Amino acid sequence: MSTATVESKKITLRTADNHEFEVDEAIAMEFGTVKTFFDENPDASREPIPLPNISSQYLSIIIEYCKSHLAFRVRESSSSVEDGAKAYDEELIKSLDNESLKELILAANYLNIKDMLDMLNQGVADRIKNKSVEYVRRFFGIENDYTPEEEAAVRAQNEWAFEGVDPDDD
Amino acid sequence: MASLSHDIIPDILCRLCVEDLLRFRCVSKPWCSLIDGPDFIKLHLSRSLKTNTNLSLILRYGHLFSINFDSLKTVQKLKHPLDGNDEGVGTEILGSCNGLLALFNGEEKIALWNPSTRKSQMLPVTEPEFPRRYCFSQFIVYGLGYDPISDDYKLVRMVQFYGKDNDSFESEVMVYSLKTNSWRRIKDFPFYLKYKRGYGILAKNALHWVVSKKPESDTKSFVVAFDLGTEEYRVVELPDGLDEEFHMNVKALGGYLCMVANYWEVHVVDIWMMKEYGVKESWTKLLTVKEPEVISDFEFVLPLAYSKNGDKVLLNQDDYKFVWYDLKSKRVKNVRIRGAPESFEAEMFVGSLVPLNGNGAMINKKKQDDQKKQRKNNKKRLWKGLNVACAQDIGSLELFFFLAIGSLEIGKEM
Repeated sequence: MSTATVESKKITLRTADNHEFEVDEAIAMEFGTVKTFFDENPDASREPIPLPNISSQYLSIIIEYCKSHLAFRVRESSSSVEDGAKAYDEELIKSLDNESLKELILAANYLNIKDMLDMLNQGVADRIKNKSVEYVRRFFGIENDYTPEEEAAVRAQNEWAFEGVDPDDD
Repeated sequence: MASLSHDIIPDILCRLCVEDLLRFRCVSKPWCSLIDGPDFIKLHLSRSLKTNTNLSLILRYGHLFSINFDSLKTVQKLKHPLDGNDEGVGTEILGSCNGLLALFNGEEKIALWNPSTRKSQMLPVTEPEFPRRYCFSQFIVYGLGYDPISDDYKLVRMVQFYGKDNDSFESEVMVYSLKTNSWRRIKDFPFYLKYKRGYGILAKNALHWVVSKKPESDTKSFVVAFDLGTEEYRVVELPDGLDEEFHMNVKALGGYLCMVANYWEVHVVDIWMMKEYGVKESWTKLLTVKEPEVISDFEFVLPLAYSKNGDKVLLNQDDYKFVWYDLKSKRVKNVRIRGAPESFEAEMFVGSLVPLNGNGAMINKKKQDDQKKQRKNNKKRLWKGLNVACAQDIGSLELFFFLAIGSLEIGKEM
């Protein structure tokens, strides 16, 4: 039995663009997919784990997020710690453009990081609140499959919901 | 461009308000199917309830008003399907469940209304069976709830009237089902309703009322539940060791059943919560409001809702103002709302996409027209006179007065 302390165990992750990230096991275990893998294969050799769907740009953000939130959790729960975590999340969301936000969601979804996914999804919801239909289509890259008549008919069912919508200024 | 997969979209959309979602039905046909689908509607509703979002306060003072629960700043007058009601009674709210309100115009019009989607449905009219022998005082209470077994919304109507003596009573219970858009009589309610007004309180898919065994000989209050799934009645056990001299009320808070004990002689109100439904030992005293330490001068307080992070409870004080009760500091803070009526009844309400049938208005129209003709007789006038009287929260002396008026009306017709 190894006498090495668990805290110093490292796990290597390899991104789609062939960068390798070495992280503490505790951080890697924040990724639901990684945790499940090691729970089911406790003896798996600690070779670099390939993450073909994720680029280094986004994995580094994810690793930072998990590191920070783990540190917040370790500290005793108090309103200042909660505020600290909230402030971190708000700063992160603010720093992301729409494209990065979506990429991070895909990555967090793939890695099954529940808290981060919840926070990112809320970030998108906050960005599309009170926005127009056209804005939402552009945001998600969705093609309009209604004919003009069909769309007018659907709109007429709830015409009042189109009042007071934020103007599209981008 | 990154494309969010179809399983991620619902988790984003379920965080939006109903107005945004109704507009986004126009984004694409798949989005429209998603938003209209029963799974998404349930997801959106359960998330709102779990996170205390999409909540509003509905106030009733003749008209109906709503206040956004997150801001609690200003009041908005609501346009509802029973508007244009000229009766002095105003529109009553018979119940609130999952975003649906049951409205009553004081006569015979009842509507189910979703204020968030602005859709409504008139219910078919069903008259109570009039008792053969002549009797005074008929009381009608309602309750609105959701039956998870049949995935149906039900409106319960209980009519009670005194029997051949002051200590006996009879009741008639009808249940309306939204799915079938029809009323059905079920077995009688074997308890005596203590409050002639006030709808059934919804908790754990059951409606609750304060009752006693008899009107006169056995008046000890207790709580009875009507299970919306099984349509059975059962007694809810109350905490042990309660003093006798208090006014009992039931309310729901955060989905939990609460018992409000108003010790009016000493100006103290205890609010108990049943933390585990049906388990007597789980009754916990949630908070106590004492005059003058907590509130300097009050008659009653009723719980409405938890704050978003659960550290405070919004209380309705005297149907006149709202206060936040801080569970830790045990102190209250006033809530100032611009434009609130000087007196009101208050109800919590969640914004949801829960749909109505939409065809209820058309069904049974001929039946309703025939019934309208039938109602031009003494029977109907007597019922109306008594019904209006009983709809008010009045003491027995005033009830007697109204009954006298009722009999004067009969005298006129004969």
